[in-house]
Amino acid sequence: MKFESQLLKGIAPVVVLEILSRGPMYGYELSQAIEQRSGDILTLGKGTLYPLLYNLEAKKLVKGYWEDAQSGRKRRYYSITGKGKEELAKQKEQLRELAKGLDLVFGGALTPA
Amino acid sequence: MRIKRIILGILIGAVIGGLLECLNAFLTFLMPPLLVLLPLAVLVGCLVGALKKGTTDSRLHNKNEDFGHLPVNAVAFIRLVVGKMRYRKKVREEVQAELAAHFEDNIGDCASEQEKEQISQQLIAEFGDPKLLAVLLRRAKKRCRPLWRTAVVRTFQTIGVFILCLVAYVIWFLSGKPLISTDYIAELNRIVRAVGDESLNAAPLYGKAGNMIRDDMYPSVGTNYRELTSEQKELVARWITDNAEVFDLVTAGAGKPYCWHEYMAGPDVNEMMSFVVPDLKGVRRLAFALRWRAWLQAEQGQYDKAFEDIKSCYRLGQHLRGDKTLIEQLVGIAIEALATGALYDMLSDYHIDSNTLAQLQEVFERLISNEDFMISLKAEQISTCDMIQKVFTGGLGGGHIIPSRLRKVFPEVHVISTLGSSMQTQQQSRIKGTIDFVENSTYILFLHPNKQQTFRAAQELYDYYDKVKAKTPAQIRAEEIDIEKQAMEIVKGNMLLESCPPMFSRILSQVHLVKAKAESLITVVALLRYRRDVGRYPDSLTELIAANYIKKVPLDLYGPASLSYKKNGDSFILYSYGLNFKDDSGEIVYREDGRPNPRGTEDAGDMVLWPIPKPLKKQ
Repeated sequence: MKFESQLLKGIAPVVVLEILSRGPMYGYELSQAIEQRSGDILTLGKGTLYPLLYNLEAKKLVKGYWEDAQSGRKRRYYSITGKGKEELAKQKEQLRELAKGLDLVFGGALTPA
Repeated sequence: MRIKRIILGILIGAVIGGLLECLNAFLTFLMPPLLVLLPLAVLVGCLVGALKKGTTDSRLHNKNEDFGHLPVNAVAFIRLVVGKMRYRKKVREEVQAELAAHFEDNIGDCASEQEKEQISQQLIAEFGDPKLLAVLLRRAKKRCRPLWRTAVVRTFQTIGVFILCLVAYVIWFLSGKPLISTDYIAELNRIVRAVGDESLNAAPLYGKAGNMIRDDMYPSVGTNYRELTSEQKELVARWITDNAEVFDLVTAGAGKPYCWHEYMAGPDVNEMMSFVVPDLKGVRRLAFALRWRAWLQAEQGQYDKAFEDIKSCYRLGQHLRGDKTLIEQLVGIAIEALATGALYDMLSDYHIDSNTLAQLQEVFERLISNEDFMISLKAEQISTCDMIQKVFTGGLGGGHIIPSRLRKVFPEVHVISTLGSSMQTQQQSRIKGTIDFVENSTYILFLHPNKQQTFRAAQELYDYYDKVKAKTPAQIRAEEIDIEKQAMEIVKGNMLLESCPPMFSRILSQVHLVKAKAESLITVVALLRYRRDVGRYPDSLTELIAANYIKKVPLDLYGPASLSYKKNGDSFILYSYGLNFKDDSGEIVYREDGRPNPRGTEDAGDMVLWPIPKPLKKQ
């Protein structure tokens, strides 16, 4: 089951920040990491990925820089900034609250048994 | 892509052409645009756009090192996206490299070219619409732009828009056309024509007489008969005899009660002075001729005939006065002054009997009894309205000034004042001239009063002069009015009207001199008659009135009461207080060249009417 909807678009920045909080990555790596770590449930459209990264960069939540990758070729890496970490913490807290609320609405049906 | 480049080229050409047009217009002081540079620049822009192969996009696309061994479809996709981004080259290069790297990583495990192409095609599908992607990338990258760069870009954009608007405004401004809606010539002809009966009009007779004076036969001698040599006098006498018909015509004209010319439209209706002023050169020659003949007759003792010619001469001057153009009135004033001047000189030079003097006095009293010495500004007002109509547009915003037409009125305006003062260096005067030029241009373009405001200011100006022109210099001084200053206040900032007040002030002061001389002439003649009859001059002018020689003493235009009179043995002095408004006991002040100052100066001297002030003898 894959999410490619408004729902994913809303949480995409948080997902990206969360992945980058574990270490710097370049675009392709990041898209792979999102799919792998979400068990292929979350897929960030490629057309959304780079505009999203640039927007996060504009907000100074991530920082982009060119560096040689393991393959020896140059790649543009993105790393989370201090401001990005703060924003991530805030967003995570909101998501937790959202999950709690949804759980209450659905009477615990959303929580795995 | 090529069409876009052509359109861009045309737009850039239009902007550059517009700027060049403006520059050209400014350098030639707001001439109408040549409308050559603009189409030329557009054409060049179009050609450059069409022929230019290597644009920034194509340069980017030609750099293959970013693409490595990517399949053709991936390269095409990346080029398309980057090309559509339409953003800074550096940013596009970065995006291109990043996308290429993404594709490269994606196909890293593919064994064959076919497989690479298939995987790339899938990724292309995942990226979605390239146009939308390009837009999203551009927007996102724009957000990444630092604040200072955004500020610079916005500033340049604002300046660009401002320049475009300015260029459009200047072109619109310079290409303005006047709206001719009123036939002011017809209005002028309506006010100058006193009666319908053409037989009462002296103008045709003067015109005919003037045309009969042949240039090659006219004696080229001085106009002052008394200063001519005997040979020159003979030449003049012969010419007078040969041109008896001219004198008959001008004398007949002088006997007519009215004089009016029909003003005609000039050859170019767009010219500022659209109506043709009558031949004033011929009229002036007629006046000189009458004066010559008067002197010739006076020399022969035929004073009554001499006075008759002087009367005709004065009448000729009067005929040019009234509601006519200012130039005609000025010539009229000059001819009147010529006639009275000749009379003063004759009275001074010749011993004329009492009866002849009495006749002269009677004739002259009748001549000036109804004369309004003041200048009429009616025709001038109509002429000004005509000029406003031709110098302003008639449309948007109440009508704006047309610089090229303003230049026709004031040809000197466009000459950047490179002449400067002798104290200034050429460089300084050029800088000053440029500053003046920029100031003038900016003022004309943005601040100059519009047509409606100019019409109102002109109306106010002429109303003001109508109100104050009858005041004597003494009244003006007593009421502490500065006519020129107040008039300048009315037309302040209006380049078209600002030249009027100084000109009117000069003319009004001339009128006062002529009026004083004409009115005092009667008193002088009466005093000479009294001397002939009684054997002495009266002790006062009251005595002269009591003896019934004059009805009243003329008012001193520069003094508190009437003209001042002092008996001095067997002579007398008659004078006005003159320009300093003080009684200096008839003191004459002289100019540097030794000639008497007719009205004294603002510091000293009187306007001495009798005896006639003579120039100082050269040492």
